[in-house]
Amino acid sequence: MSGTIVTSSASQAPQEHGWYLYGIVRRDPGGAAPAWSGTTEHRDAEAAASLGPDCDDLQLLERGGLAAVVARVPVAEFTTEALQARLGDPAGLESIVRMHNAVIGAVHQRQAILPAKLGAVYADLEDVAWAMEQRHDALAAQLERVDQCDEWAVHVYVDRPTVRAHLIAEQASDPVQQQLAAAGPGRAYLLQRKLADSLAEKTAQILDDIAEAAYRRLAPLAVEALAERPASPSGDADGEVEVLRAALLVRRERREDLVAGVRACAGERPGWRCTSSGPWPPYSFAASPESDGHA
Amino acid sequence: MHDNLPGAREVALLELLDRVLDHGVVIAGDITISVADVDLVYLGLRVMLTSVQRAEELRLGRTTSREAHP
Repeated sequence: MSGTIVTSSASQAPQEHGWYLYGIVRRDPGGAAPAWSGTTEHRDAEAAASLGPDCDDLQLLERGGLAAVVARVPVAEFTTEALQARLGDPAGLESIVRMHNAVIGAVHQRQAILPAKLGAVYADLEDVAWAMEQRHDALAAQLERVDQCDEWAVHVYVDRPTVRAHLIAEQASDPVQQQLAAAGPGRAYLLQRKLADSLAEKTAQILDDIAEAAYRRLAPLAVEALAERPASPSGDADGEVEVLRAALLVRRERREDLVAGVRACAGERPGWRCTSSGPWPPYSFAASPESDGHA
Repeated sequence: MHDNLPGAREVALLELLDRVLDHGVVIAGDITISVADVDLVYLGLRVMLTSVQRAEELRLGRTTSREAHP
C-alpha cells in the first residue's frame, strides 16, 4: 500500500484544524447516519443538548466494519504548550473531560462505543482510518465485548472505629481479660500489648474480608470486573477507609441486580458503606485485556 | 447517581476523572502528555510537533532506526 498513500506535505502552512477522536463504533450496515451525527438538522434535540458546544462538527469516519467518531478541532487548542497550560488548571481539565464524556455518553446511549483515550487528536483523518484498518479485528472484537453493557464504578468503605468498637466488645470475653484482671503491672503491660496487637490484626483482617466479600458478591453480576485495593492509610489512621474500588462491566439487563447487590453490601455489616456510580460508557474496558492497553 | 453527600458535585467530578483519565483505547499515536504523573492527554499521529517524516514512517509501519532530522 505504500505506493498509494498521498502525502499532504504540500501544506507546509500551519494547519488550522485537527481531528479529535472520541471513540470507535460499529459501522451501521444500513448506511443511515446515527441520530447524533452529521449536521444539526439530523440530530435530535436531546442528543444536541447533551453533546455540548463543539459538536456541530461531529463526524463519522467509516472504514471496514468500523466507524470513528471524530470532531474537527482548532489545532491551536491542542498543541503541547496549549494543552499543558489547560491541563495545569483544574477548570481547564474539567472542561476537556466533560466535553469528552458528554459526547461519548451520548453515543453510548445509542450504540456500543469504545471510548478513545482522552485527548487523542490527529492531524489527518487518513491516520485515523489507517489505524482503524490496522487494528480492525481487535477493535471489532472489543466492541462485541462491551455491546449492551455499561460500566459501573463501585466503592466500598469501612468505618474503622466501628469495626474496632465491635472487636473491643468481643475482647471482653477473651480469656486474656481474666488474666489481665489478676496480673501484676509487668504482666499486665505485656497482656495489654497482646490485646492491642490482636485488635490491629483483626481489624485489618476484617477490612480484607469485607473487600473480598463485596467483590465476590458483585463480580459475578458483571461480564468483567477490575478491582483494586486502594493503598490503605497507615494502620492507626481513624475514620472511614476505602477498602475496594472496582470497575464492573455489566450487561444492561443485569442493572437492577447490580443496584440490589450494592445495596445489600451496604447493609451487610455495621460500619460498611458501599456506593456506586453509573451507568458509564465502558472507559475501563475499551482496551482489550491481552494487548497491554493498546487494542 | 451518588449518595447525597456534602460536596456531591466534587465527588461526581472526581468519579468522572477516575473513569476518563488514563483509560480508553489508543489506536495510533506516540505522544503522551502527563501532568503530576497522570497521563492526561494522548496526541495522535502527525500532531503538529511530529515531523512529517516521522509520521510517514509510523503510517507505513516501518521500523527503521533512521532519525528524521528535517
